[in-house]
Amino acid sequence: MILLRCVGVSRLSPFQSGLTLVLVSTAAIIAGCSSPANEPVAIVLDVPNGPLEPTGAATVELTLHSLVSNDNIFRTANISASGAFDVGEMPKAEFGRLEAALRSESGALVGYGRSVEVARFGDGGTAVVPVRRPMLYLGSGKSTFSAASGDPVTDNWETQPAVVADFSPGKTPFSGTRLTTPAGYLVAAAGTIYGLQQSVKADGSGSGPVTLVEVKSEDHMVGAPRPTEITGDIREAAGSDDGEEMAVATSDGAWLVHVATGSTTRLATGAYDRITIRDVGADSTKHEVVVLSSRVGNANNCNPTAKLERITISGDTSDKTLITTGAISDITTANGRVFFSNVCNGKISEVTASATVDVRTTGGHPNNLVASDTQIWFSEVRDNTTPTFAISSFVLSTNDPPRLLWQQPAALLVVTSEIPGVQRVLQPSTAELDELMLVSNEFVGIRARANFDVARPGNSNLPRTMAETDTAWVIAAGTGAVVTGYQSWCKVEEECNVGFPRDVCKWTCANTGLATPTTEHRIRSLAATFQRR
Amino acid sequence: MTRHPFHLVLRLLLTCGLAWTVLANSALAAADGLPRKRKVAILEYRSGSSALPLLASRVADVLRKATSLDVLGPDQTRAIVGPGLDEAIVKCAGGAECLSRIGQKAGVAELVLVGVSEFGGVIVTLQRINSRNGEVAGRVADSLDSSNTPSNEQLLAYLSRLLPPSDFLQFGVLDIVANVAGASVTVGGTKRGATPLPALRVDAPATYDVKIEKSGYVPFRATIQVPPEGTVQVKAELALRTQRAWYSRWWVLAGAGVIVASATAGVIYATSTDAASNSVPVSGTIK
Repeated sequence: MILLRCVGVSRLSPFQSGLTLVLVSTAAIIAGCSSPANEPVAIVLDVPNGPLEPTGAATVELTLHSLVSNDNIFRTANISASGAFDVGEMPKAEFGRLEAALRSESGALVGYGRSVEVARFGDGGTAVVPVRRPMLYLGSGKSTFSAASGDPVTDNWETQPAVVADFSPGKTPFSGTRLTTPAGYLVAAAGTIYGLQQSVKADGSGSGPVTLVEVKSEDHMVGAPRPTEITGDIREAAGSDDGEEMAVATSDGAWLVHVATGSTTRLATGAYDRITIRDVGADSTKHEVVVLSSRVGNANNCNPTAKLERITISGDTSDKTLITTGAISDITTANGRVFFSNVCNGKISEVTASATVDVRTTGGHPNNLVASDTQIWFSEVRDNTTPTFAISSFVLSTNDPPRLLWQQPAALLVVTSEIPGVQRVLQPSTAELDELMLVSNEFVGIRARANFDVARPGNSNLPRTMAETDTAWVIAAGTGAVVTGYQSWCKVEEECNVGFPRDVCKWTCANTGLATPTTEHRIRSLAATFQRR
Repeated sequence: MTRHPFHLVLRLLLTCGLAWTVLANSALAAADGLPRKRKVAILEYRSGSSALPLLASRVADVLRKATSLDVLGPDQTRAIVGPGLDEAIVKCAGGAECLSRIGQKAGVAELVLVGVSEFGGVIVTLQRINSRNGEVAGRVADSLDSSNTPSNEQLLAYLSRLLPPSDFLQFGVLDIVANVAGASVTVGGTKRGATPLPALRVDAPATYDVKIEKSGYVPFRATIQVPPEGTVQVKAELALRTQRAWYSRWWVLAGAGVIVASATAGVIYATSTDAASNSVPVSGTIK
């Protein structure tokens, strides 16, 4: 009681008195021993200091993808005017990759990023998470249109400066922003975008030496080229989660490129269509590459010719083993897991350590895939008669069937200047979806190509009409709502007055509300920082 | 005393702090300010053609199944506007402003006018008209062989060109209520903010893993099925990790405190290592 009176708590309840005694005695004894406290952990959200810095962030959402519990730990915090935030306590035993999303007062995504190194909370220190604006990059090229033959004419392809769409609040995506120089095939490794530059042949395929250029995060300037030893036409590339390496599939082999130097290792010989690179090992710091050859892109040809192979890398040596064969259309990676799709039987499966396991039967014909830690999105071309582009998704942790998020007819609306108000709807002869891209875990981008060759209907005065289009769509990853559509290329040609002297001519693509560029271009690739392929 | 199994189940539910209820959508949706479903009427206008009978009714059926719209077919619209509907449509002769007045009378936000005429083949037109201002928001036309009846898939293809893609999504409502504020809510792996939260409009039908957590409380987890156009209410009671019991009496605490403090000091003194809590404070900055 002397102690209680001494500290002035004699009017407290018995519980409060007891608690006070505990606190006082504990504090006194611990203070006397000068014990060390738990070291705090500081998280640095590393934004590019320049015109492309994310602005207007009011809150931060942090997710730790735990390598201890294989679960996600989620925290939110307000951001002060000075940029500081407090996310409370984290278990000391945890470690894993950190994901950060910056949002404005209205909840719009301002910036997104993932840590390149595994963050540990047991021993204090600092965890750095690079954060970038939500942007989609389009590698581009250009050809002279020649639809009558169905093929481009000789020497008509050229690379074009890449197109950038900024989805930050207040920005208009596809408003004409382009890189200063052609950056070729675009790919991201962690928070940095790289271009793989290569000459193009008459048919649009790449040839000759490949150089690697870095697109600066702060201002989109293109850095000095770094020579690589890659040969063949670039089909696809994927960056590692730690941002240090890039896997590249070409018509001549599979390659691993160290992005800082351009030093190249040939992983395999042969033609590869798709490639992905994933973290392996107990601390997710080693890499494994999975490649797809003889890809089956649509369900019109269901020969099980595609080969899915695993390339394990150990030091300077690599070892390739067959995983499975089938009508495989695409592969993708998320959080160390690899998934692949079969365009004919409609299954999406996962590559395990020694085999494969089916994760969902879609009931459709998935031809492109992209995954986050919790969901998979896939695209399809539905209905051969009136082809329609579609994107569906499902949550990995449930058994729910996939949900259709978005669909868009591949048909083209054309108008004639000879008779205002008259339109034709052309159904495509071929319609293809080439790539899905998850942008900042918030948007899904897709690129679509279609060719049209529509005969004269009966004895009408509407001529045979040919066209080709390249279009990119961006939808909200959660709801499927269309964020923007961008028609980068739309060319129409007609066989007018051939045997019918009074044809309605001068057909052009109708304005359907899609964004269009000042200078039309083809779309060769999609890229987004922290992309997963 | 032996408890009835029902009581045990009830007790288990209450202990877990979980109760969810499927409610009628309309009442809660309105109360929580969620977007109401847009009402659309389907009308038919024929220009001397008897081809493709009941086409407007079929269009209405397709729309009901594929969209989140509140769809009135020709018969339902006639019941509201009156028996003179068909005559009024003919008088409008396809004029959007005139037709919008019919839409106003029917109390719908938009009209879809299905036109059937013959000019060689059968010409089908679908026109989307804003009832408020008579503006034409979209138009699709196609020429069909007179022997062909468009399939439902074909009608859906027309409609998907006519209406915004967002109309083709179906939703349910997930209303999450927790007994503590500031708890983070994750639905289907997506962070949805902190409690208290307004009711969430989510894709449906679908199953969602719901996780609600706050430092110092036992996390709440549940797997919830959300039906289309339905509302599921989730009441989460987050329990404190420790609760007051006999051992919270002052003299027990005091004694234990002295022992713990002494032991802690002893360990620190003996080992000079950090044996404090299992968590670390985390703060950050944007640089």
